Amino acid sequence: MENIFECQSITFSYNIADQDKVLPVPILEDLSIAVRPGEFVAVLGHNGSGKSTLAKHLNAILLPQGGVVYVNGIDTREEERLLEIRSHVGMVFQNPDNQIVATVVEEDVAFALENLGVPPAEIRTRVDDALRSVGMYEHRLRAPHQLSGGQKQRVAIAGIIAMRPDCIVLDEPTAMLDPRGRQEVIGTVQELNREFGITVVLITHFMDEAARCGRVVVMDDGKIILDASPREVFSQVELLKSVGLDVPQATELVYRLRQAGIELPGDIIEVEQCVTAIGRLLKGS
Amino acid sequence: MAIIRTENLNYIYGGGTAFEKSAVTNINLEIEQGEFVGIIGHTGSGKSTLIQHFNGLLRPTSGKVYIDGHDIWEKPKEIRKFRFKVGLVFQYPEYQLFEETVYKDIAFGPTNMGLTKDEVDERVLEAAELVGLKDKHMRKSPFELSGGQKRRVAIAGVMAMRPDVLILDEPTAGLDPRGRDMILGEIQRYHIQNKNTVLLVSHSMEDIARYAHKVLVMNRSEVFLYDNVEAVFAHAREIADMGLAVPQITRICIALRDMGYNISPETYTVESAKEQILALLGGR
Repeated sequence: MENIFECQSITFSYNIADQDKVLPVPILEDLSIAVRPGEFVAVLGHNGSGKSTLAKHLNAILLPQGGVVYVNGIDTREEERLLEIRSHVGMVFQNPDNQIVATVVEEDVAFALENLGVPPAEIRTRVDDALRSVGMYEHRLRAPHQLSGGQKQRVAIAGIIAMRPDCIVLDEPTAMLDPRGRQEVIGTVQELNREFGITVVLITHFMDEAARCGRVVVMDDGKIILDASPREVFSQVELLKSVGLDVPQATELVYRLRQAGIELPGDIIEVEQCVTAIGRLLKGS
Repeated sequence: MAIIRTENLNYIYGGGTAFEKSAVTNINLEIEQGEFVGIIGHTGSGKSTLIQHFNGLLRPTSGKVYIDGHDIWEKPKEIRKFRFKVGLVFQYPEYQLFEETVYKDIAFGPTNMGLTKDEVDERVLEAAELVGLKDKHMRKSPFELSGGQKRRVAIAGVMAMRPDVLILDEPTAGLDPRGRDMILGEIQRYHIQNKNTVLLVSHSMEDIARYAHKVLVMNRSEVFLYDNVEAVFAHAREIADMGLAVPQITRICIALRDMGYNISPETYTVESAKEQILALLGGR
């Protein structure tokens, strides 16, 4: 099956004015990545590693200065196909308050559909479906400012879902939320991926969120340094720490016990696995 | 003596309207001078409302707030004095930067306190040093800096007023793990160096366990607990039921305890968990 995203050796620099000179600051360097339909990919990396710049290439907010990006086979430089690209890929950003435009939840979800000229009866169905799929249907008539941060992000996601995209790209959608809000948003996204096969690219600083994805990509200095399953990625404790990232505490505990000479598997990333493995060890002692 | 004391503090939003809601209910709290207190509670638990009372941004609907023994609302005209004693760093403080240079932005608070130019200079440089800002940053526009550095400028601006109490609302939100560790380390250094009281609002129990001595848990507009870190972690299950995220390591230790192994359910650092497991394995 065709890749939903294909970045072929893309490069990108921003220009920074320093006094009278304009200096190019390279952000992405010769980066290649392909994402298949239905995947759930987490992208990790410290601030400034190029994660958000990469995300903005995935629906043609930015165009590569070198190399090519294909979205569902469409070259993102084809300007006349921009709307088509954006109908395939929806984006959700960090701050929920910057993404909500209407004064009633359901109107906000309908906003893009109205702009696309979708017939009213179909808007009604799509908005209701989208709100149900993020668990916000009963809040459809409320004002967005009455909602919690997690609820607002789910409304923003519903606005994307209503456009029936193949893929959602989320750029740190939980950074401003409390643990409950984070759980709501990540749970919603996982369900959309599982139930409807929507491809998800999730940029995050939370290692426990990445541990629940199917595939983890780690970026440093505009390059991909790791691209594997969460178990394989988080077993690289030292490498991750050297690029300013963390590992889940379960992984950290097992790592330190292994260093102390205890025999445990090196690919533990979840609480349950950790408890089972250590419990088995203790039982034998 | 308590630096912050509240007496039957109540605050009601939208009093007399259909949206009336008690945001903090009957709070009686004493925070000692020199403490490093972590404050947790889910969204809407009353944390932000409570801390805004400590420097007089909100006036209690009923009850009293004492700073250093003084009822701050005794003479409302003098409330400004308490704003210099208690410095509040809001969430995403970098959005509040406005001056032409980093230096001027940090100097804004101390200048408003009516200090001499030399005193202001000394404080700006001290605060900048504490948060790791270098000389080369000082003449730059704050808007040329990275997100993490902007946040440091904003925090330095409050530190430069040398408040007796420094309150920070989620100072690490949106930062990567390295940026988070650096900023928390800087706050800890400020605390140790100045022996001032620090209140840190955070959603991360891991961070609170690492840096704070005491923890204030807010739930449904009330103080659920105010105690030292170990004692609070003894209530890990109840805290998890409130929808707060108990550290993974604590959850692992509770699960092992439930399996019948002698591991403290109050464990909150990876190091301590490792030591306990090694001790148990040593017995084989």
